[in-house]
Amino acid sequence: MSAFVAVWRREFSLLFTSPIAWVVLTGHHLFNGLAWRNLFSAWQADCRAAATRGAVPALTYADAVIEPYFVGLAFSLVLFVPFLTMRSVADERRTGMLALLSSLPLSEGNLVQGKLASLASLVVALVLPAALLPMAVQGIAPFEPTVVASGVLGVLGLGLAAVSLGLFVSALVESLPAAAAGASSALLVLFFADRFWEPAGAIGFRAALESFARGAPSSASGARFVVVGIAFACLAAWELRSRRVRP
Amino acid sequence: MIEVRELRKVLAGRVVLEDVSFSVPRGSVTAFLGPNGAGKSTTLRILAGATAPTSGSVTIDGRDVRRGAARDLVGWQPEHPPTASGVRVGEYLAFVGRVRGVRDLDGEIRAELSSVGLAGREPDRVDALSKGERVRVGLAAARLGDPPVLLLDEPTSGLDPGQLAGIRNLLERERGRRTVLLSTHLLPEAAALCDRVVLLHRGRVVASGRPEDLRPSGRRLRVLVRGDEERVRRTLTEVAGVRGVEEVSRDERGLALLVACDADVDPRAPLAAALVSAGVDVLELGRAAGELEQAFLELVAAPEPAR
Repeated sequence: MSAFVAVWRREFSLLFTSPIAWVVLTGHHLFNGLAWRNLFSAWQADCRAAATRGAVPALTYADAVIEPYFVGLAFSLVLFVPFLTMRSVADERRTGMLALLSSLPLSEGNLVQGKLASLASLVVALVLPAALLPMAVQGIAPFEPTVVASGVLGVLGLGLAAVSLGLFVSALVESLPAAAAGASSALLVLFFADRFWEPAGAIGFRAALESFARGAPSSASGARFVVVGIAFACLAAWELRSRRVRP
Repeated sequence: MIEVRELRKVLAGRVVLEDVSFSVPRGSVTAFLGPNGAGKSTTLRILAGATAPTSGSVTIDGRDVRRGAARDLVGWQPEHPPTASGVRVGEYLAFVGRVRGVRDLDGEIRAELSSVGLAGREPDRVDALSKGERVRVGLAAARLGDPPVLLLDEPTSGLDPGQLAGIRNLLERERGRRTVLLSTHLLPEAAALCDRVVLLHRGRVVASGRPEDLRPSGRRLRVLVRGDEERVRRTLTEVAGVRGVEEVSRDERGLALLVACDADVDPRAPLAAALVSAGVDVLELGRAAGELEQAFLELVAAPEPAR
């Protein structure tokens, strides 16, 4: 337990010793703030137009704003998470720190868990403030706590699966650009899998996330994020161990 | 304590270690000697569990290193301690200490930094330190948590003479307390500090034993005399067992000479007697320093064995 906590603390502080985490936090919140403003303004304009016609808006607040907002929030994670995960293992291998870590009383499982926990903490810092926006307009828009909670849960699930995948890719390579490019490509393919090939909707992140963002998550959608997250975490630990013991 | 058997390591198709076997007794300080590229760092990495051998076995206190079973026994100081950018000395040591389950973390970090001559340097960034300071931070990290085995890769690299003396004292205090295996290029240090030496060359162990057992094929004596040089040389070369005489220096103190002798004879007494009978003032007569160095040079100059 102490080894896991030690890795978590070290990784979290390491994330902020370079400008990357600060840039990602700023970029992500700017991107999502602008997305929110545009969606909300468009919906308000639609409401005003409908009111002048004496009709009801074509889309509800949940459909017009919350659902696309959470899908956008998730897409922002797909874009930014690879820049957070690229250093996790690749940089440690490059600097020789990974070899030193291998000599410490620390299992590969502890190492991956600690790294995942620190990255997950940052994902929470990326998602929770952004999730406050739908709640902040309470009074001028309908209050949809269930839909918002479901959306937050979905985005967090996708974020955790994304950091797990990014960590695995970082464990495969030594170059930071390769780690970022590899994780970005894999995440984009997973996100848009159903767009390329319809049957891939069963594994695509986007389809799973949309059910969360609509406030009607299915257990299969949640399981998709959990399975992907656990699978890539195990693969990362396996890769680290096999590199250490490989003759 | 450390048992290495028939270690072999192939890296990128090149054999870097071949049939390396040696043992390090508990509580001893053992020097790992060899020219650059001999395989010292690779062996230490294998012993630390940072990389696996292609074949062979390594056990520390009976535990298989390859299975990661000896990690809590070992403190490893790599030759180039890793330097993640922006990390401070205190943070780096605190991480190592937490992983090793150190209880009084602040107290032990202060004590270790003080013992390597870096007291109060916790707030400094590791990547802003000099090479010698980084090595000493690595040494402090290796000692944190009091592991019973220290693997030190060039712990005196980049140190000035004052720092070197500090580290030498530190290692002397470890004798009998911990098992220390250190690689070094400084042969006088190895001879003075270590109970045993293992000499590695071209990935093979070419000699091992106590430093005094590693003698060159011949002996060298240093003689400081006052008298006619021609007579001194003639007298010296007439003594049985003397192979040759070489001038080292000549100043107001006298004439300093190196006398090469056969390894199996100690001609100091007959040399002194011969010089005195020839009317030469003998100011100094003794073994020349650097016998280990000479043995080292002879061993590494040997032709490569057929593979």
